[in-house]
Amino acid sequence: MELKRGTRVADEIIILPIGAADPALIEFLSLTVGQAFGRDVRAGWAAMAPDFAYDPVRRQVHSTMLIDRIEAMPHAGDPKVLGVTEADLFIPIFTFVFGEARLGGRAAVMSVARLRESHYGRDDDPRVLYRRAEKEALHELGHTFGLVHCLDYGCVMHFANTVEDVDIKGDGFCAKCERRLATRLNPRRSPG
Amino acid sequence: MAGDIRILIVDDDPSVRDSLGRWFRDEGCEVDVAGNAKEALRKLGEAAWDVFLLDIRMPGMDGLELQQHILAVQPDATIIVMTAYASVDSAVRAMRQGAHDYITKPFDPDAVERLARTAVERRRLQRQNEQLKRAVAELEPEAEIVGDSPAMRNARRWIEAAGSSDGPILIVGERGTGRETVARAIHARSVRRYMPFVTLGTALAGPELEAEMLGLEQGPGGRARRRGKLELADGGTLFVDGIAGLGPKAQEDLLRAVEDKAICRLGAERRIPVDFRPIAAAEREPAPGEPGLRPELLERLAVVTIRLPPLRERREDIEPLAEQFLRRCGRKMNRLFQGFSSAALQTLREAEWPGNVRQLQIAVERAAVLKDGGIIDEHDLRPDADLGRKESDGDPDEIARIRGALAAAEGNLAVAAGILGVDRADLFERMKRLGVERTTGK
Ligand SMILES: [Zn+2]
Ligand SMILES: [Zn+2]
Repeated sequence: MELKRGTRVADEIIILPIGAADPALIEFLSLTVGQAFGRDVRAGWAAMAPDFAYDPVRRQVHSTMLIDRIEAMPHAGDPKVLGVTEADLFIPIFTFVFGEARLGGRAAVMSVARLRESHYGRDDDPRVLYRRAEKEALHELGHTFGLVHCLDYGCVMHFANTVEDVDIKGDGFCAKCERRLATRLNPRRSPG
Repeated sequence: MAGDIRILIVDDDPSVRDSLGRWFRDEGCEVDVAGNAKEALRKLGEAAWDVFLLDIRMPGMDGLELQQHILAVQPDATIIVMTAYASVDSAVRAMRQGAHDYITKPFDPDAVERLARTAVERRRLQRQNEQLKRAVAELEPEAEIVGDSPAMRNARRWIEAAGSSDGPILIVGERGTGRETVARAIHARSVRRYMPFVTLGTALAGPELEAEMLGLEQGPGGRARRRGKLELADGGTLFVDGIAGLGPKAQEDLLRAVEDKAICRLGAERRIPVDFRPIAAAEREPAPGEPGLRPELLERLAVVTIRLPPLRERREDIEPLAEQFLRRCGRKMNRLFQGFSSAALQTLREAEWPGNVRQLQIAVERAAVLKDGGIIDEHDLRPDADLGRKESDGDPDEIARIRGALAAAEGNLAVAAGILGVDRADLFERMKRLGVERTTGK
């Protein structure tokens, strides 16, 4: 699907690596996640190190702090920004999170640490990682577009907190979420 | 969806209020927070709440006392108490006094997920029947089951009937006839629609397949436990593609899970209840007493058999199918197609289509990507085109094929993957491995 001409720069989606990131994965996400939202995607290489949000006791990175930092960054127009990190993420009350997003806001972050097969003692397979990461990216970005969790296992907005659940859930939005997404996307689009 | 479920979170720790609040807002709930019992009681006076999350230890009035006040006003309230590991005893006391559940800090997402399910989805379930009926009405007809031939009409009747029942199904059809599509269509029409659809492929064998099916209590090197496909399918549908390719041990495991409605993860004693609907598929009809297939299993699974005819036995469906694929392709690429020339149609109708509907689809898509629109002519078509799989590594043809597809798709990865009949992750991984650069379109 061709991206609609006239998509304003302001409406783009930025994939922002946080800390060292696998460039192939960033490229893959840049190529795939825009379609569902009808927006241009680009990889933002403005460096952002996760150190300031690192908790030495938990040895994890506080995802809400990353989100706050991203929201505070100056951006042209009104993009959505998805931070992607290799670091394991947490929010204080949880042992870990795959990702976090500001509902209806600008920023989301996701961790690939627990999406890799090697985290579970198996051999890494880039294809498996790409598929999982694409679902998680769509999911977190879906939140930034105001979508909430969906009951339907076939839908990418279904909540998953184990890789097995990520693997069996669908990689697109169900009809209901699609409709909801359309109503959020369209009022913002200027005609022509 | 859950906008009318109202949750009040009471905790003196702002980070708990914020994070839990955000969590339940993501679930679609309406959330308010209170930093102490007094504030909570004021909010209780102002409005009704469905679910309360109470911290047990708070300065001033603690969670246990607050719980008594809430239950006095609202006896049907769902109350969940939150506690540190050290004070589980008081949580147990809270449960005895009417709390619905408790969670310990820091929360395991699993635990909160369970809470969200029990406390919130219980209410959603009441509405689910209604939603279900609407969702079924919204389903688009799937490409592979389009067609007006008597064979296809018959198959569609069976699919509808299978959707409204909950018994095991056997689907028999050659490759490319859409066995998985049909299984998904049945799942989407069934009461299990909102639960998982899990595919068990038969590419694995031996202990690996067994682990894939049953899961591992402890992963390799003492890593995280892993749930198997049979467990993941709980509540939903398990699709077993290529039933005849399952080894004897896997057949026994499957039979036992279907009969006992329970499994044991490898290395575990505990039985885990599982309730899935099995849908099996086979390339051809298994004969009773067929070697390599347990008769009890066949008996279990082949309660209803749906036969998908090969495309060559329903040639009258070729034209409507091809038209539909072309329209869909045109929409995807923003191009306007007027259809096929009569010579092209004749070519399509006369081809053998050993790869069936899937092969027809690929042939149409390949023709379409090389045209800017207009009419697809005979010479645009390659009905003998292979299915684009089983490409061996380092095949110089493969690189050319990927480049060609990317060029036709103007650099769009998803479209190129569609042309090649592989998924996006697959195509991208091959591009990286073979060093194929993506050339950007206009
Ligand atoms: Zn989510
Ligand atoms: Zn959905």
